Amino acid sequence: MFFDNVILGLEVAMTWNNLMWCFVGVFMGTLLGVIPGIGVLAAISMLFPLTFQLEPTAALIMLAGIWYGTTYGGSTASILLNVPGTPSSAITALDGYPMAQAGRAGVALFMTTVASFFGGSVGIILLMGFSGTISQMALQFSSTEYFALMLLGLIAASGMSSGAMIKGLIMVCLGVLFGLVGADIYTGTRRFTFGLVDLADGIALVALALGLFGVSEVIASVGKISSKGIDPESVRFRAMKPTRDDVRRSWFPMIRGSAVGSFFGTLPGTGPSIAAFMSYALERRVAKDPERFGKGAIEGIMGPESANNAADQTAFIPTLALGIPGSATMALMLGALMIHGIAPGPQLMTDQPELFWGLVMSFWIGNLMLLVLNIPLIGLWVRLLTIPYQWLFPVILMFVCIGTYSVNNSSFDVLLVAAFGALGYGLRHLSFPAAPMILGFVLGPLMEEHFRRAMLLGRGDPMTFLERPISATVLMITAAILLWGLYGSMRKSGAS
Amino acid sequence: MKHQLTALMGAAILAISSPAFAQSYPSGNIQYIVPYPPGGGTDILARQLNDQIARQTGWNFVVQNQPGAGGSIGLDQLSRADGDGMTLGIGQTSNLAVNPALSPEVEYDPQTAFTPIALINTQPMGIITNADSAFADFGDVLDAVRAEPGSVLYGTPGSGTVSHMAIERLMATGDLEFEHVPYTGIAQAISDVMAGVVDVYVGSLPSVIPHVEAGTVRLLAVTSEEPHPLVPETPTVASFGFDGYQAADWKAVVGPAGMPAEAVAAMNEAINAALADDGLRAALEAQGSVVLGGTAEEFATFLAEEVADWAEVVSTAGLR
Amino acid sequence: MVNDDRADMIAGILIGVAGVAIAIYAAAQFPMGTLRRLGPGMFPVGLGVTLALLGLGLAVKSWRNLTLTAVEDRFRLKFEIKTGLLTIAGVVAFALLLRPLGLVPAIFAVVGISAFADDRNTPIAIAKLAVVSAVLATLIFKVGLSMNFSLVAWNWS
Repeated sequence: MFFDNVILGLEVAMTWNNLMWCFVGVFMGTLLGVIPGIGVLAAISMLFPLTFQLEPTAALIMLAGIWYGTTYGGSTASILLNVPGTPSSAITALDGYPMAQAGRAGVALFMTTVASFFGGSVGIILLMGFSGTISQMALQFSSTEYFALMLLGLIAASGMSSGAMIKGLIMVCLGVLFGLVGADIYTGTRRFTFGLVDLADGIALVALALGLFGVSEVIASVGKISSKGIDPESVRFRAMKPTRDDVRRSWFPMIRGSAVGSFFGTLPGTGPSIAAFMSYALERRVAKDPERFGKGAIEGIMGPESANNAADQTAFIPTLALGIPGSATMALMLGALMIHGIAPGPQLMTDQPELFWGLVMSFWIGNLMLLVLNIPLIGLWVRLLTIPYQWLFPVILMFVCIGTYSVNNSSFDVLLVAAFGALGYGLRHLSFPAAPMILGFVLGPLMEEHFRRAMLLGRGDPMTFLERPISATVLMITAAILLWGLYGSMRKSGAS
Repeated sequence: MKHQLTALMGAAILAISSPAFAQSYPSGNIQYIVPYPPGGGTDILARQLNDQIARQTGWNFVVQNQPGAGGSIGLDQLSRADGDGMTLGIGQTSNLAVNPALSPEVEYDPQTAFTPIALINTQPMGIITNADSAFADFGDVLDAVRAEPGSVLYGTPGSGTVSHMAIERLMATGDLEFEHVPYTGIAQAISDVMAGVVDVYVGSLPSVIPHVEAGTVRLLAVTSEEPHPLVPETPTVASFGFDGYQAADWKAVVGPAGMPAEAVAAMNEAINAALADDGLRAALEAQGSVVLGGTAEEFATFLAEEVADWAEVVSTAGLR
Repeated sequence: MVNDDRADMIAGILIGVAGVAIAIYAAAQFPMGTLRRLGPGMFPVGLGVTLALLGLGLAVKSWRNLTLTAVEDRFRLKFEIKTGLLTIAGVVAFALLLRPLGLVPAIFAVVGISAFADDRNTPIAIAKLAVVSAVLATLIFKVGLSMNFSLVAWNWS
């Protein structure tokens, strides 16, 4: 039965027409991922009207190709320019950019492509074999469990950046504060919007990420980077070759990253960005020498890049197996089915096996195409670094502006980029780390949403967090990490 | 000057024959504002309708998605555009009737800022519960609420959505007390209904029907006045002793204020002709819509009623 | 990036004050709700208090460090004021000009203004760069992606 389905899927995916649309999708996706700002949702939105003309399987294959293709391309700008191509690869900049500065851009790009492929493959295998089981598991997660998970993530990640812990915590709180801007989802009360309708939906993640990482990076780099740092050797094809040490260090981060990513991909409301953050936090936690992180540790790019690609694939599990789209992008995919008169729902897998298996098998083809497509491109991207920075940075700013605007067709978002750029530059100059702020921004509002809903559903009894087994377990792990961390810091201060 | 000239020309041509005017309007591409992101229900409907109009008339539409603030940002932009009929948009219950009463930042008055052109369709909300729930029908839900006010939790895709307002209207009409659990979209809400964490969920009919068909949830009632053709067996909320109760998500084409009457007439005629097409009609009905159409005047009267009704619900419920 | 204890102390105090302000504003503006139905004020107030404590902590910590070393050795911050202003001005100009004037003038603005941040860029080089950027963007976004931008417009409403 399973193999019949696989063969059926391959037959569908291997038609010339579907192969072509798969290529169009992943090609556009990877290019758009490289351009800072144009996120996956904007990219898919732009190409969505095209799907009216396509038959549904081809339309989904193309849209899905854009979706996971952007994640492949997203790390490129993060590594080369310290400007995140997509929010989910912002974290890759933390260690990818230092690698590039050390002349190891080629290695970083090559290895993230491998990590992406590895993570994607794990995600597809889960999608093929365990969709039913996993989607039933996802049903066990209600707001109580979400809250416990978000808390775990925040605590685990609190020591995410090097430098003073207290500054990291301040940045987390500031991130949460920016995340709270907008209409309260429970009462509609406008919080910190100052009467601006543009803030009613909150601050756009892309504006925050590109301001903090992108614009502030440009300000800090102008006049300081010339193309001097680029050794012509480092853009050669040979320079892509990882050392034996790189490979040895990469295995476990890829496996752990894929696991983390697969998990967060299946949960509605979370996704590749959270997956990447959590994976980075995990890698730092388990590392024997966490002080290497932030200075070009290869684990710091392999984990997150496997995680976000795995999450990309497993995000299809609730979408296709239950008809529950976990994100705006997934809802868009289902929208593509609706225009063709296919009602997306729990019966999609059984009613439309050619569509489901064709799509899933196209993911293998698409990921292979991305692997083959990206490796030769690395040489080209690295050459970007040979362009003198004084010419490059105005163009980067232009892409940041257009990319941000395109997400919501909003000039206001571009103004926000400018504001966060100024803020980010000031804060980084005072050595406040930027990554925790993005983490707080993403997790904070989710924590509030789920905490309040859990209290509502639990009819006002805080014990609900301990009565439900999954949430109780996660909270216990969180407490253990917290105590362990406190014990560790106490012992350290006692020793010094 | 340009407006007067167009109006004059339009009037002159209309005087001879109205189909002839249809050829002079529009004078180029029609900019079409969809106040939601691509791929959502509103966007798909707008594109399907425009496609059909384009096929029948050869007019060209350029869709511009302007999401934000529950559809209010796009409509605000539309209200500021030139009223020459070359910029139109699609509005609906939330941004034309609910938000103006509910949201402090909505600056437009839905009745004066726009020229009503034509209603397109309407979709009721469906009220669902877990397949194994103790509620056999909607009457049981009402009994539970009457026995213990606030004991029934109802989920919606968000605060201020038609789903939410539908129950607020029921609470205001029937002096009942439900407890609202807003979600952000349908995903986790449906998942919580399936897990039995939330008692009932109210969502647009097409969004819940696939789950009803899969047998994971049961449909208790619909919020339209008449039983819905897709689920004729399901009772209406009104049939439980709330005569005249209805809540629906309708969609309509509007233009900026001050559109020339001839342009309104031409567009209205084109919309009605498109809605008469069997293919489009079947597609819309399969999605759970009741196709409306009708004259611009009928829409204007309907809009006035809806604006007044929802403003009353908002003030009775103390939501603002 | 260097740690500057005097700047840290000032930052800590500012954050502490901001935290208190946020907590007071939120408590005054938003209802706290009940345990069952928590209000929109609960999180912001808690957040404000946390920020105030963290700010205070940072201020105290850096003040203690300050007393350990001579002040003049510690003050090493130097902001790139000109670069910062020109870069931010370029982005703001893009935001303000895109809708009224169209894509090409907005690109000229962001490239033309920000490029002056680097002294090695001559006006002629900047003009060339602006033209190249505009062509590049037109090809990618307008031709390639057929995005809904006017290249040049006149629309001040």
